Order: sequence, then C-alpha cells, then structure tokens
Amino acid sequence: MDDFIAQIYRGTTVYGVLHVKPMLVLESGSAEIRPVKSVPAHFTPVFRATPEEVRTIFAAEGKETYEIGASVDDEKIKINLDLERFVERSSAIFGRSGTGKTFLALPLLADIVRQSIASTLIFDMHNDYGYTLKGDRQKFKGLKQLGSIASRVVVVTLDEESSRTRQAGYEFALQIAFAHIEPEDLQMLQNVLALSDVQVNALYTLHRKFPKTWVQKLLSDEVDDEIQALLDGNKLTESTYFAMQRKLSRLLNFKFLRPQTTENFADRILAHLTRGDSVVVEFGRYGNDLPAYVFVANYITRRIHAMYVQMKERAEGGGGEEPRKLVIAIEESHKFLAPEVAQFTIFGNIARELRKYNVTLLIIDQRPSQIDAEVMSQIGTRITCALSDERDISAVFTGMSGAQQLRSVLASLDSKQQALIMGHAVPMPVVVKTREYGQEAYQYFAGDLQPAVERYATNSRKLGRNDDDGLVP
Amino acid sequence: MIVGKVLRANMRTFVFGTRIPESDVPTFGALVQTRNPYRQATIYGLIYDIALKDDERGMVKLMSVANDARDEDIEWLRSQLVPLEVSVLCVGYQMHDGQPIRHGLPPQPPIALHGIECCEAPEIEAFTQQLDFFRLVLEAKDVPCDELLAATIRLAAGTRKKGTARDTFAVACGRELARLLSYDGARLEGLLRRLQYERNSHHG
Ligand SMILES: Nc1ncnc2c1ncn2[C@@H]1O[C@H](COP(=O)(O)OP(=O)(O)OP(=O)(O)O)[C@@H](O)[C@H]1O
Ligand SMILES: [Mg+2]
Repeated sequence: MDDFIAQIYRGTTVYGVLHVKPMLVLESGSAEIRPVKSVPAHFTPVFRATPEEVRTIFAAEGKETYEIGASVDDEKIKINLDLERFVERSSAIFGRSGTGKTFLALPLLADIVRQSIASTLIFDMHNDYGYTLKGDRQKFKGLKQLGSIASRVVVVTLDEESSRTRQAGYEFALQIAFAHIEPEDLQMLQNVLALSDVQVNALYTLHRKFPKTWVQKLLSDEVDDEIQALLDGNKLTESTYFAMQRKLSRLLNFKFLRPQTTENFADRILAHLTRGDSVVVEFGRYGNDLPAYVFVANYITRRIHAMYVQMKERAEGGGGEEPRKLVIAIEESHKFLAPEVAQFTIFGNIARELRKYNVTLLIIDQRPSQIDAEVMSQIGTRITCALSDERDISAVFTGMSGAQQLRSVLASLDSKQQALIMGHAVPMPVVVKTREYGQEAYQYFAGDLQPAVERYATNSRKLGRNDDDGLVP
Repeated sequence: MIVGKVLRANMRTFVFGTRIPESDVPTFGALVQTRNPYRQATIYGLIYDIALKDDERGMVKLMSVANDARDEDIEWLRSQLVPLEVSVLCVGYQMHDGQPIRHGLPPQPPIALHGIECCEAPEIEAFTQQLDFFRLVLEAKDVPCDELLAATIRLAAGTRKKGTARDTFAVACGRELARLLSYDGARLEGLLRRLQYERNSHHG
C-alpha cells in the first residue's frame, strides 16, 4: 500500500485492539502486590510495566525461591518461583518432547533439596537425574554430582546391569519380594496388561487364600494341591487362572522381583525420605517397559502414601512429628493419571487429596490432554513449554478460570527453553526463558547453603527422636 | 483587495457578484472573507460555485450564434454584462480582530453589498491550522462536497513549505477525513485518492 494512504489509515480506520487482563495492583511507593479487585476507569493511561516493577512482582522478596529463568522481554529481569508454594500443592511441567522439561525439572528439584524445602522422590524412567543427564551434544551433571546436595541424594537402581554399563553408582539395587506384592499393586495394570475384571477379582481371591505365597504359586508351572483345591471347588475357573498366569508372567519375571530379598527395600526408601534425603529410582532398561515402570512407581508410592497418612494422623493426635514434605516427580505421568486409571492409582489419590498428607506430585508430561481432568484441576503450579497439539494446549488450562486468553501465548512459545508459568507459585502468569543448565548452575549448586543445612540437621534430629515409634528404621 | 460584493446571503451560504476580466480570483475551493460590520465579525467561506448568467436582453445568445461577430463587439458586450455569480459556503468566523477563528456558522449572515476579499496565503494557513471545518463541508447540501474539500485541501497545502510541512499537513487532512468518514469506506477512499493525486502532482 502507498505509504501516504497507509499513514492515514493507520490508527484511524485500521487499528489493533490489545486486550489487557488486569492481574495485580502495585500502589506507587508500596512494594506490596495485591490481586486486582476492580478495573481501571475510562481514559486511564496505559503504560508498559517498568523493569523495576516487573522485578518487584517476581522477586518474591523474603521468600524461599528458585530462579527459574528470566523474562523473555528483558534478560535482566529474573523470575522466581516461590518454592514453599510450589511444593504445597501438586505441580506440573508440560511440553512436547525436547522442549526442555527434564532440563528444567532437574535443577528445580535440586534447589528444593538444596534449600531443604522438601524431600524428593524421582521416578527416573530415562536415567537422567542420578549421575548424568544426557544432553543433545554433551553430558551434564545429575543430582548426585551437585556438590551441595550430593550427600542428601540417594540413587537406587532397578537394573544393576545397566548401572554398571553406564558406570553410574548407586546406593542399593531395589528388589521386591514376591511376598510383599499385593493385588492392588497389580490392579492398576489392568489396562496395560489387558486383565479382565474377572481376572482381577481372581487376584484378590488368591491373595486372600495365600497372603504370602500367592505370587509364588501363580508363577509356578505346576498347579499345587492348594490351587487345585480352589479350582475343584469352583472358586476359580481354570481358564481364568491360566489366562491370568499368562498375562502376569512377563511382569512377574522381571529380575527385580525376587522370591526372597535380603531386606525390605521399599522400607529403606521410606526411611531415607522421612529422614530428609531424596531418592532417585533409576529404571535402567526397564524405563522402556511400561508395565515395569507403572508397577514400581505405584508399588513404592502406595507404601509411601500409607506411611505418610499414618505419620500425619499420629502427629495430629500429638504422637509424633509431622512427616516432612515430599515431592514425587514422575515422568510420563499420564500413564498413572489417565482418566481410566487415575481412580485406581495412588497418584490419582495424591493429586486429589492435595497437601493433606504433605505429599505432592511433580507431574512431568508431554500429553496433558491425557491426564484426568479432575487431577488437572488440582494442579497448583503449571509450567508449560511449547505444545503443538490443540487438545494438549486446551488441557493445560483445565480448571483455571479466565486463563483461556493465554492460549495464544502458549501457542507462540519457542520450541526450547521457554515456558509459560502460571498458578500457585507465581503472582501472575509469566513467560520465561528458562535458565541454562550447565557450568553456571554447577557453580550455584556447588556450595552449601548454611540455613538449609541447619534445617536439614534439625529435621533429621527431630525425626530421629521418633526411632522408637518404629517409623524410622 | 475587494473582488466583489455580496448579492444575497443566508446563514449557510452567500452569493457575490464579480466581473470576469477584473480578476482571476474566483476559483473553486478558494477561501474568501467578508465582514458583518454591525457585529464586527469576519466571515470565512469557500467558493463552491461560479455561475455565468445570460443578460436580460438576450444579446449574448444572439452573439453566440452570430457568424460575423467582431471582437470589439464581444469585448463591449462583456463590459456591459451582469457580473458572475459566485456562491460561497460559510465555514468559519472571527468575532473581533485578535480573537481566535472559529469553525462553524457565524451568528449572522454577511450583509448585502459588503466587499469580498480573497484570503492570502498566511490567512489560509492560519485558517487551516485546525480542520474542524471539514465536517461543515462534508455535510453541506447542494454542494459538490468532496470535490470542494479536495480543492480546498490542495490550495491550503500549497501555502505550506514544500517537503515535510506539506506532507504532514496532507496526512493530517487524510486522517481527519478517515475519522469523519469511517462509516463510508468507499467515499473515504475516493477522497483520499484525490488527495494522493494532488499530492503526487505537487511533488512532480
Ligand atoms: N535449560 C537448558 N539448559 C541447557 N540445555 C537445554 C535446556 N533446556 C533444553 N536444553 C537442550 O534441549 C534438549 C532437550 O531437553 P530435555 O531433554 O529437557 O527435553 P524434554 O522436554 O525432557 O524431552 P522428552 O519429553 O523427550 O524427555 C536437551 O538435550 C538440551 O540439549
Ligand atoms: Mg525428558
């Protein structure tokens, strides 16, 4: 178009309309940020917020914070997460593959540990968190290599062979004894293993009859007398029994499942967590095996949940310390939180029960649309990297009133290292360029943080007193 | 310089008479002024029509078809003719000297036989500092509004220094039009095309 005509039309007949959503009020001369309660009057002049104002809003002065990145508009403006609020409710990191979810989650979890905000339990299906994090071109330090927290991180492996080939150290190999498996641990695999309802019921029947030996019996090639009696008594049909056996045998033949173990390793994990240590469960090659991943994560978490409920109730009755806050990080969480399974898995419970028992989730996932809507609506803080699927984009906003306007913001994120953060841990939604994980971060995590060390120490001492409760072995 | 005298007037328009040879003044779109001495008001208007009237005796008609009309006779007849009738659209007034010029209708019309003066460049420039009179022109009845406005803008632009000042003025006029005619895109486009054309020919 002719420049002359363009100058005339611009701003007169053609113009853009910016929709601005009032979020916060920062009165001049005050540093207190309050949620907005009203709208500005007509003809109130509109200005861009100054860097100082943005800084004030996202500095979270006087709080325990993690600097998650910088404003996309101005690299000098740092955006901080309020960590106490972040762990208070379940949180999520979404984004399609390769957008930097793991690179964002690792230092974030590291800082939660460093500042002793909570213990963390990480189900590390791709072996990223323990010793080495595999980047596109180089290798990065895992949690166990970050100076200030290394002593508080325990790496546990499911696959010793893989750990040895990767030359990754570990505290112990996680083994589960047959006798400790309960039907509930298998029920949530119903979909994954295509078990029928009848077959699931049969699991319970077996368990009721033979509480300690039912798995052993199920795996055995021979049908022993006791089972035969069940079949003969029509308590169980033969076809159900053998179909169930066939479907479960692959799972139950995993090497980490043993007829006997030298100790109860799940309890050992619990002991570490309640003491204030963080645990990384490395899956080795089992990370690519969905049933194994779902089984183990669910197995451990069910026991943690039961224990935390117990501790919490005891504490409320005046009989002990509150359990220490725990954040459970799960990658590919939709496997546990899909609408079909969320009601069976313990993760669905945790997400719904919120912070009642001091346990929250850090959901890390590529497909938010596959997570149960009720679970989604309970998520406090959502950190969302680029997503391309429309359904996923919509799902991110489930249960957030008035956030739909941010759809376009989300759709325009860079494909790496940019994220929209909204919810509980930030005063208002904000887009950040996430912090580079590398040398600088290593420096940050190298030294001890005195107050946190003290907090950790007192915490261990306090919980140590409970020894005779039998809670902490 | 007086270029003619008021013949008839109403609130919105007035007509003055003038003679052809006497001046090159009555041009379409030009800004003229007259006074209402009783009110001490100066009234500004834009020329929107120039009419050539036949003489009552029918001499012009005869002469126009005569084969053997001599130049002297034509000259003589012209000198005898009634004046041209020039119609003016009122667009502004100034109540007393030194007071600001207002765009709008004067409180009273001009009075008969008062002299009409053509505005000079500085006056045109001063009058067109504001563009509120556009609305009066665009809404006038029985007036070729768009043509008139285009002509006036061209003359007013000519009083600005060539270059930035003139361009800025043209754009300001265009933007005012865009605001006033936002309901009528086709009309606006027509007018803007006129402006653009005038502007390009100025530039050339
Ligand atoms: N903050 C960061 N610092 C340094 N490198 C980064 C960062 N974020 C992303 N990268 C680069 O992008 C690559 C992909 O990031 P990452 O492995 O975290 O993706 P992801 O979202 O976890 O993908 P997937 O869903 O497939 O696990 C990394 O290998 C790394 O090279
Ligand atoms: Mg990843």
